[in-house]
Amino acid sequence: MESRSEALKTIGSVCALVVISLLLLLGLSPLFQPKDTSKEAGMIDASANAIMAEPAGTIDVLFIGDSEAYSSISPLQLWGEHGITSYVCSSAGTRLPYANQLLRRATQNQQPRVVVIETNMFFTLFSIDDLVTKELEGLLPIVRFHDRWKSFTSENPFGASAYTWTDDLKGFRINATVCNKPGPGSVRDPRVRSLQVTSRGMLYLSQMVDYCRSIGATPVLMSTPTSLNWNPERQASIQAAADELGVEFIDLNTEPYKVDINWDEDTLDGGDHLNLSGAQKATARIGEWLSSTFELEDHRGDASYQRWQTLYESYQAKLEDLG
Amino acid sequence: MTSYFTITFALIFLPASVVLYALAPKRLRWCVLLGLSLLFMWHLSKRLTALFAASALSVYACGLGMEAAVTQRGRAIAEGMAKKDARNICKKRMRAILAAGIIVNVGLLIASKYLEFFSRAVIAIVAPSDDGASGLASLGAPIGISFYTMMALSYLADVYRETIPAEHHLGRLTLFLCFFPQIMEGPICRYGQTASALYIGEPLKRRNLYEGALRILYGMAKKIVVADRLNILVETVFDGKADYDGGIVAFAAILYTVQLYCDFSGAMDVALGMGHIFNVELPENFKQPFFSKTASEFWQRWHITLGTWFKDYVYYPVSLSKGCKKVTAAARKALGNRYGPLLAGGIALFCVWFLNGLWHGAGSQYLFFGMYYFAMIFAGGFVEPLAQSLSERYRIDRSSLPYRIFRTVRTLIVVFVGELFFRAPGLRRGVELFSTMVKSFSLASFADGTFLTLGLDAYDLVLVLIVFAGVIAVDVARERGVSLCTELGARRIPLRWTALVALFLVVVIFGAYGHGYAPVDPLYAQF
Repeated sequence: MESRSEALKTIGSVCALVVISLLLLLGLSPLFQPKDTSKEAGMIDASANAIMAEPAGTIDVLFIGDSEAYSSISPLQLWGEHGITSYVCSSAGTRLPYANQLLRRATQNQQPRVVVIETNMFFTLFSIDDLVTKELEGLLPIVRFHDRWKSFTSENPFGASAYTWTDDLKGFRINATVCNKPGPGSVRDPRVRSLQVTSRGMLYLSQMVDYCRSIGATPVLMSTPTSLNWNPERQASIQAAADELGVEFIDLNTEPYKVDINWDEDTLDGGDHLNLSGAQKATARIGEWLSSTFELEDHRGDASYQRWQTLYESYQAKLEDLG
Repeated sequence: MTSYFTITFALIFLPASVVLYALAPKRLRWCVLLGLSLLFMWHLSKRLTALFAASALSVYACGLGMEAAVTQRGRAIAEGMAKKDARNICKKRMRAILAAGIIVNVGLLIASKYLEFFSRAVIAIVAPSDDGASGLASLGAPIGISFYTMMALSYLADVYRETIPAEHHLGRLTLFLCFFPQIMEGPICRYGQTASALYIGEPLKRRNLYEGALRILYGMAKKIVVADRLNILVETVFDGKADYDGGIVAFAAILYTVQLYCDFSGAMDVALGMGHIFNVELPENFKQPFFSKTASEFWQRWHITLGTWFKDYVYYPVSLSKGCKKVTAAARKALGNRYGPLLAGGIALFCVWFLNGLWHGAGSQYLFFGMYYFAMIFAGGFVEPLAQSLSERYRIDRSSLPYRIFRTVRTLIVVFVGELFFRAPGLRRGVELFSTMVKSFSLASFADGTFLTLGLDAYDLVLVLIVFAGVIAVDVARERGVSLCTELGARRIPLRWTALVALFLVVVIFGAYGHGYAPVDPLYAQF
């Protein structure tokens, strides 16, 4: 700068502009924040975020992960077999910074006893850009929901959000397709797909584990059955991470937790994701383990959980329709 | 951080660069810029940065070599050698050094980008029956190789022509070649334009900070709001497998032209804005191209620094060469003074457009693109005298508004067709799309709403229309000699700040980023 006073003036101007811009973004954020949890209301990853509309304190087990989680675990089956209330908070291609946000959002009005973290996302690399973007989206909802300008209505745009839409499948996605051939893009290229949990990933993972403990939940790592995304190097890397963090690791691909998957019938895309029959096997296995390891309350017969029973019956009817 | 349009670049790298530059003592500011530029290049190119280092070192050595030849010439003349002999010896040496520099730098460019293309072409000629031959694999290109190679060659040519002295400072020359605001997509600068300003390390100025930030935000709005949004529809039509009618293909060709303009000129606004902040005035690369009356004028307004590079280092040297002069003389005799020189100039024009097409990439569509403009501009030279005499005969006022509009629309059609071939993934697909556009042109897809099923809804299209109208309004002002950045920079703080914050909000709210949008790298960064 040409002189000290000039320099101070410039620094002052830049700081003032940054503060004004941030305040504007913060001030405008409520305008862009979806007013409900439904996709129609503009919620991104509606089924994962619909946990915010579940009655407070009703979810005992929370599953966090990417598409492997929502295609492998059926909370309504866990209810039917064990009376466990659970929810799958996951979306396609979830990276750890986003999983961390999902975890925190899900526990705003839930106090799960167990948080099961699906491990496939540990190997989805994320850049500093992804990380900064996710942090910004967390701080400034306008950055995440900016595209909602298209769905503005005259209805009080600055009104408070009232989350009412719930997902009847509690985050699970039914897909009965049987396909034993890998779909386009399903085959992983080992050069670009990490075989180790990165140090950046570990940072987020340890934050998530610490957070779970701070809210009184037991964190668990789980690998769902997959023939394309699993290999011994990854398993060893996850085991090392689990040992370092002092958490249990349940690998449904290997003994003693191995699920008997028929890769000709139980996958929808040649081994990347499980289909309905695969998910039923995986859910049955994880249900056995959860009920034998944790003293989780069986809510069946509890009148305040009648809604779960109703949804379970509809779910059963749907399964019968699917044959 | 993959480009200027990523959050880490905009929120971390650039602000940190400005702070480091401001804090550094004046004599070390060039070191800060060089360090940041090399860091940026390393981050994007990793080990391929070695290719840039080889380029920079070769250019540095060749420059010094040519200067040594000039010094020897002076010494020889002082010692009594005949001036003509001394000059000839010097010229020979300089020519050999220049050739070596060109071979090294063009060789590196070919090895990085074109090896596979050329080896396939050779196989196709030598063994046409060997369909499965894949050729040699290219090395992979460091960021900006097409741009810094052009700058390196222009430096060598200028030293050879003795219009600039050779640079003795390796760091200063390296900074000229890799200054981070220009390395991704240019502009292609000449040594005399920027080297000095880069090295001086002038202190930051508040007004430059404001004007630079405003221009950066304006460029970001063009790229993130318009270009990245249009990319969805353009990809659907050009890369998809579905068949669309001619109306949709024409629509996509127009929108691709808008996308390319907003993408490339947006990136230039960002580059020039960053340069302005560091007191380095980079040359303009666009001058309201959509107001052009002819294809030739369009290329004087679009990617200007590439056009002037080809004019100075290919067109003039070829057209002033002995061989070309002989052809001109023969053509004058055969065709007369009006058309003779045009035919001879066509040789130089062909060289320019062949290289221009090739510069854009190793693909048949790019070569076709170059030849298309060669044909248009070459034919334009022949048609122009005819059009002049016809307008005189029928008393058409060539300066009247309707005639000017007619010429502009005609030029735009030429441009849209050119961009259709340029964007198509291969020449065969380009021909298919062009044939569809001509043979089955219909507006039915607009009447039945099909055009709203290509990835952009009515809101998107209206937004694009509004923002692009704003871009054209800014272009109109520039055409009249008014720079809105400078104008606003002279206004009072409330107006200046409002403009800056408003542009920032436009980018944040209306940008095509985040959920539902795939990130789009700057289009010219791949060339």
